[in-house]
Amino acid sequence: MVGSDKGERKQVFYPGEECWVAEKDNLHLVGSHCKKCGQNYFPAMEICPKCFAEGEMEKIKLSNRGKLYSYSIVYVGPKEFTTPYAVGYVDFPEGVRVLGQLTTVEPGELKLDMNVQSELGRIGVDEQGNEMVSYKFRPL
Amino acid sequence: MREVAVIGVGMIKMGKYPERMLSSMGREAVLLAMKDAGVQRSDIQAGYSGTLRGGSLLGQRILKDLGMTGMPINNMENACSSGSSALREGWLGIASGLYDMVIAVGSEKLSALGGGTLPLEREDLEVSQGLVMPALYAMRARRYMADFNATKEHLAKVVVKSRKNASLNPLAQFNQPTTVEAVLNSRMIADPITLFQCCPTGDGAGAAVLCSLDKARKYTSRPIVIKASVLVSGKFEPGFRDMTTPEITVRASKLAYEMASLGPKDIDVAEVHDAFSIAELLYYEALGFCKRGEATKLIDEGATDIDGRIPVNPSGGLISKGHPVGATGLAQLAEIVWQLRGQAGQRQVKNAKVGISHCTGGGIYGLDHGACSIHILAS
Repeated sequence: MVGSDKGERKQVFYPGEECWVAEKDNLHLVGSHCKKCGQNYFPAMEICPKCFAEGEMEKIKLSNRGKLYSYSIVYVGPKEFTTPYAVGYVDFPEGVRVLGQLTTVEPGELKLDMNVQSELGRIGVDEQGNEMVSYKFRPL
Repeated sequence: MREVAVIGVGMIKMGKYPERMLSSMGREAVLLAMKDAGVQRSDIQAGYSGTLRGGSLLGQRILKDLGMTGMPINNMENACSSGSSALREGWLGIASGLYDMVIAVGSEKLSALGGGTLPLEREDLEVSQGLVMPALYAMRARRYMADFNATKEHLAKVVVKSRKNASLNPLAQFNQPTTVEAVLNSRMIADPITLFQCCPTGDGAGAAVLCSLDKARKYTSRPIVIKASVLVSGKFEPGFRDMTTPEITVRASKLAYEMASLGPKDIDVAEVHDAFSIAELLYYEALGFCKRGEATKLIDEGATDIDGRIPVNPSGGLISKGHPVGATGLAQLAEIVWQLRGQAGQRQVKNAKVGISHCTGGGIYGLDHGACSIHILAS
């Protein structure tokens, strides 16, 4: 599923593998739901920042699809990210917004409020030469 | 709370000084402010220093070579609001009655970081995915343009005004006017934000001497009174937020207007945190200078020009005067003080009696910004 660079680089996961689950080829981000106040979070929280409840969080899977709230194609960035790359905020039906890289930098393929789908992919190469892997969003 | 006045300000010309120590820039600003105030070092009872990347104990590093040690020296970091946070804490020290006179200083040497986008905290969720500040503002811009029929020309006009004002400010980093075409044709940084729409990499320092109002008259016949001093952090919001309404600035400005018993209509001159072109438009609305969605009208009509209805960033603002992060809050204060004293030279706003300075910044996941600090001043 993850495209590797000549198959030789070690993969590291950002922010961490616990943040998603792959099911039938569909990637779902994993967040948490506060049983006390109903607020959802990504990534998962331990204590609810909204109502301060402890021990009330349960893991939830976010939908595979969300809506692109806004985006930008980045031409100058930190060296671990290969420019140009695109980032966008995606609004999920569960009421959380997630910032991630998009799978395309073609302006013609991107539109506000379009549907996008989560998948795993390479987001950069870190200082140790490891391939950085995380969720990315593909326009539908 | 006691009333607090600004009795001295100073800043060095913003630019790139790779050969110069940061502490020496801060020290020069401190000396300029103390000379402007006409105070002795023995009058100063505490120091407050703001910087983002200036390192440990910068306040002590600045003040020790002036022999201004032994007193409490507080070092503040609040991203782009570091300098204004130092100012706010200095205000609190006097307003509370603890001190009669303090010095606040902000300094930064971004040239030491080698250019490019400002390095952000890697532990942050969004930074780990590749978010940089220009991209964050670019996403605000794209959404604002779609929601309110704004164009990239509107963004460019902010820069044209900014460069024009800076050309009248000898302390600004950029001194040449520009055009809409040149702004739009400059290199793309984060679509739709081009290079000229970004605050530059630069170095600088600013400082202010604050004094209780009752003692201020001993030093000056024209104290500038701090009518409001506000510092807030952004509210954590894991869900949807309207990125065209900067909640942290809306909230902070409401508090500031309440504290000063003044409203947006009373403001004669404003220095706002235009880190990127779109920011200035968003802050026209957030600070109440116009209604939602009408910021483009202000820039089209020239209402925020030096001779307009509500002049914004007569100094050139962050985009053209420069934005050495930690220095900005004190540099904004210096501009407002000069404007209210009638000492702003060619960029003087006529009959300016009330001014506002607005700092906000710090990219952090879930918050509009990390910190926002607003000051309202009156002559």
